[in-house]
Amino acid sequence: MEAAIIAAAVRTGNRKAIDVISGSLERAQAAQDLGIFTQLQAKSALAAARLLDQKIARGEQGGRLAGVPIAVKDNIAERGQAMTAGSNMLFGHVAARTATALKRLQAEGAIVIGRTNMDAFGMGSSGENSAYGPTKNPLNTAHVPGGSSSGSAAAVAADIVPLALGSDTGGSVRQPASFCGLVGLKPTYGRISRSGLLAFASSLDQIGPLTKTVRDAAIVTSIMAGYDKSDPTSLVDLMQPFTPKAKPNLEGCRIGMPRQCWDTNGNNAVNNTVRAAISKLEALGAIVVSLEIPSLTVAIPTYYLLTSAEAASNLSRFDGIRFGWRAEADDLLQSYVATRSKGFGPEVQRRILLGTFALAEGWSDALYRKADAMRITMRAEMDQALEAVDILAMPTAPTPAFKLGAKTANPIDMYRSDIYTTPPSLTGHPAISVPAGTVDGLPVGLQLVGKRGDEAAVLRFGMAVTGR
Amino acid sequence: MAVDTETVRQMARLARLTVEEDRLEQVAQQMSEILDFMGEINAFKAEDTEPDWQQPSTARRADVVEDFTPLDRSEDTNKTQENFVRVPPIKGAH
Repeated sequence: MEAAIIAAAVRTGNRKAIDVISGSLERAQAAQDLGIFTQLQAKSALAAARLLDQKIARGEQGGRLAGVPIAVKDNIAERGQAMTAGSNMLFGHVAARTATALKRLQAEGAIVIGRTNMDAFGMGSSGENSAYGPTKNPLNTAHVPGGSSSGSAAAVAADIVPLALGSDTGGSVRQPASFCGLVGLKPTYGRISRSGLLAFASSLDQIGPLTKTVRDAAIVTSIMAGYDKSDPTSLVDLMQPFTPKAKPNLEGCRIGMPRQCWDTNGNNAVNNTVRAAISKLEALGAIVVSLEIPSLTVAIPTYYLLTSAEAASNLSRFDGIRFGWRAEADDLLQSYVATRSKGFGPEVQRRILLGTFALAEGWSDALYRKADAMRITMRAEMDQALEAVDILAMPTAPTPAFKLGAKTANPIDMYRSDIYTTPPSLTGHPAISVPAGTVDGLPVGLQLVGKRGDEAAVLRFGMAVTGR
Repeated sequence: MAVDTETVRQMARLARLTVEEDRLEQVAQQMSEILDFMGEINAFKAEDTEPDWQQPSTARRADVVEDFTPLDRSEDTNKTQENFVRVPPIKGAH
């Protein structure tokens, strides 16, 4: 199921939006035991579909995503709809405005059918840290779908929608894409407005699409991309145009394989499968070279220190007074503390504590400041590596989807799943995960990282791997 | 980096969280393990730099106040009344 094909049929009147949306809602209902949605929006979705059908019948433009059902991660705001970010803390919160990225998709005819489950506030790599309970991987329900955009990945993998929005702070779009056999794109930092995206770590957060094909990822990203005055970090530069080609000529192109991502520490079966996918690029003329990016070895500590520090600060606004749930107590301070201690789940509290350590007097030089310096070093090393090659290639994750419950007792083990996805988030480079093949019957992804601002390259190489 | 229970209590206080007494030891232990792992970063030499933020080519918008209606505010309506945020009454006042 491809968004572009559905949109073409609806736009030309060959299919009714109401039929497309009804079908999508029925599939969502039938898949309820997978824990994909935090809410379905049948009423508003069907109403939007009817309006769109009338518009098209009158001869008006339906838009590039006419009648395409989409699922939206529960941390991306839609006016009048609940937004909980997978946490009890925001129980009862209703969004007052619509995220810019979502508004742009809706203006092209996309219709939201529901909001998707996620690790609370985006903190998690398995979808298990949700107040709604875990999401199951539709390809094998004993396994996790990855996280934190767990429900968004599962919604596309279960063929409920062709397109879902996720958010990616350290791999939360790309890693679930890898675990569910999908395409997941994290654009250059600033490419897509963060206005209306609930902030986790503002200097890394990006919205990104989960799709079945690279073609769809390209269309959706180009619609969401572009400067937005309500996000002062959004980029003014335009996204480079991308022409989909299943077999582009890659003569003279160079692909860099950072040695730090291909060490034998990784899962050999994963490495072999991903390496085989890269050979498809070689068959189109590209040359593979090995290179060094030394700072990648400390990506995880760097990432967890910086994001926890930003989260400790961002999440301080949730005190029960203005948003969501409130625990009543004798005075304001007790009310704040009771609200936060009961509202935030264990992983979120762990990260807030960690972030508070990282920023505390006496610790911040060794932790936060050091991590910030590492990030600058890493960005310089990545920029330098990408002067010598067109693209960097590595596995998206060190393993295929693990079993539910396998890593919940050990946070550090869970954090290690993000080893390959955190660097582009820290440095702002665009990165895509495309299906590379399977290991033990479960999909694994190839991650391609491009120069900052060059989504077109990651899309081009990605499509050369998948052919679609 | 060893973290003791007193430090955990102090950090929790700063973060407006409570860690139950019977969990303090366990949290201190877990924080020590995590911070040990984070400490791997110190094995690596990095340039001495000023704090950084991403530097995209952004535009500055004009510094003009735009009209907004209470409907555009993000507070939840069950917590607001007209333009005010409602909080519980002060207790023990009489």
